[in-house]
Amino acid sequence: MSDGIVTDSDRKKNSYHYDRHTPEYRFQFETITEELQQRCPVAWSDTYGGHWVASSSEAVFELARCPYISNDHDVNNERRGYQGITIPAKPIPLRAGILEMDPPEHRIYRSVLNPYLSPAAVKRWEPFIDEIVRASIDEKIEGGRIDFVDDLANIAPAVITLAMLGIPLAKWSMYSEPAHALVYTPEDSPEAPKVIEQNQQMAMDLLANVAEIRQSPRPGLINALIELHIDGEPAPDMEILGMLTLLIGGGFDTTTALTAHSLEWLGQNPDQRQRLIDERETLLDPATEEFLRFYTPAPGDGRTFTEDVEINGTRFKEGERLYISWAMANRDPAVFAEPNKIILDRKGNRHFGFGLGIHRCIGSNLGRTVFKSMLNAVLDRIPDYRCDPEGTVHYETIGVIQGMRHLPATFTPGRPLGPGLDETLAKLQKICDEQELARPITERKESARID
Amino acid sequence: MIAPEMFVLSDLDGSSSAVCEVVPPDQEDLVREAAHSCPEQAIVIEESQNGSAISAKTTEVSA
Repeated sequence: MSDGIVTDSDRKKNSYHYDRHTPEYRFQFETITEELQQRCPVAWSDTYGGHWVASSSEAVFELARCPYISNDHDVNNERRGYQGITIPAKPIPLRAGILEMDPPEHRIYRSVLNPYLSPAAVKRWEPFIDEIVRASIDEKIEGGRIDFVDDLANIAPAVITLAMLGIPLAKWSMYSEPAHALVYTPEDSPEAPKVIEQNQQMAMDLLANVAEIRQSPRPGLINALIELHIDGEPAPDMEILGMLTLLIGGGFDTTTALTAHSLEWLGQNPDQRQRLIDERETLLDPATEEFLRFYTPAPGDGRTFTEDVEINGTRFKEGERLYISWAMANRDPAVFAEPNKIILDRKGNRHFGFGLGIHRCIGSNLGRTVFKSMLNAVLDRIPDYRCDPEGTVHYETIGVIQGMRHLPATFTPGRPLGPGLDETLAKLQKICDEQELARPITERKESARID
Repeated sequence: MIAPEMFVLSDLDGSSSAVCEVVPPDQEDLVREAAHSCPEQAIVIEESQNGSAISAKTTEVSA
């Protein structure tokens, strides 16, 4: 190689067979992470057509903010044919909204969402979120039994997401089931055709809502996307649909996953649960960040190199795929002491749980708020809960979302504080409409009022 | 937020900026912890010459 030509085998000498979609990966996650970080923090894997894998905090920080990588999903092969953020590529010809866009297009669409999802915008919804959570727990509190996934963590994120979009709240279960099932159902499962059909129905309903809101506007994110014009032209319906499915995917399954895992861990560690109850005021925020670090519900994203480029000694080629693992970077001992341990008051928790750079999760404020509302309600109202390990079901694989399907628990029964879920949803719908809660922060500053 | 008195979040897009450049002594520890905890590493701390004061600012995450 004296003439300067670098062979592929030389470029890819740090190779590692990395397959995050197998059930075994979930159980070997800590070992694989340690191996990758020690041996080859930027590794070449032969899986899924071949791709790079970044696992150390340094490599992830560098590559996530690198100007030579693209998120673009070029579904109609109009640009360079890049495949977006899923590895392997999805067979569905739909872009995942801003997560599969590059600047400047990315910035145009993202800035539409900002005034609905900024910290101040989300804060206005707190009483509304607390009310859904209250009603979800009231449904179960007299019986002394709850499935934290089905009866709590699936409900609140779905209802608030629909409220922000401007979709009737009563439709939450029609949206919730397919959104979660799409993530946890393996492609070769007998259930898969049904899940795909349900998701198509959801897409049809989203488009029906878009058409309806275009005819007679009502506030919310759908309306904002309809009003968006780029160079005088309205955003295409398929791009709006891609944005909406991203908001639903991002709003539903991730917060559910974080909440279920955190409640499971607190159930297994009652001393830590008691400590969190006793020191809630100072511990709730750092504990939330620590759960985000440790469980990283959205564990990583794919990218594509846009140029031949050398970064920290590795030579990448244009068109090559890269998987950036937030979940592995979150276990890097170079940044996190005792990385595989949950330390509720961890300091300097510079975690990667929401990603990094321009694609950092736009719903981070909402996710934290909904999570804290659910956690607070459980710790206040059913603090002695015991999870049932027999009935607990984790996602079989954690390649897309580190989630849970079921987390049943028992507790000392209590008294409901108000009406049940259906009645509460009807009341919240009325409040949503009358107070126009789904307006952006630029148009409405006041908090929701729940009587 | 770790140092809510020293940084302000934009209502519109949630971006963070320092409320003043010179950090009062009683806020120093919080500001250092904030800088240490920022995933984007966007908080820059400068130590003053005599070592008795620090200043902080946030850098923009470019899009």
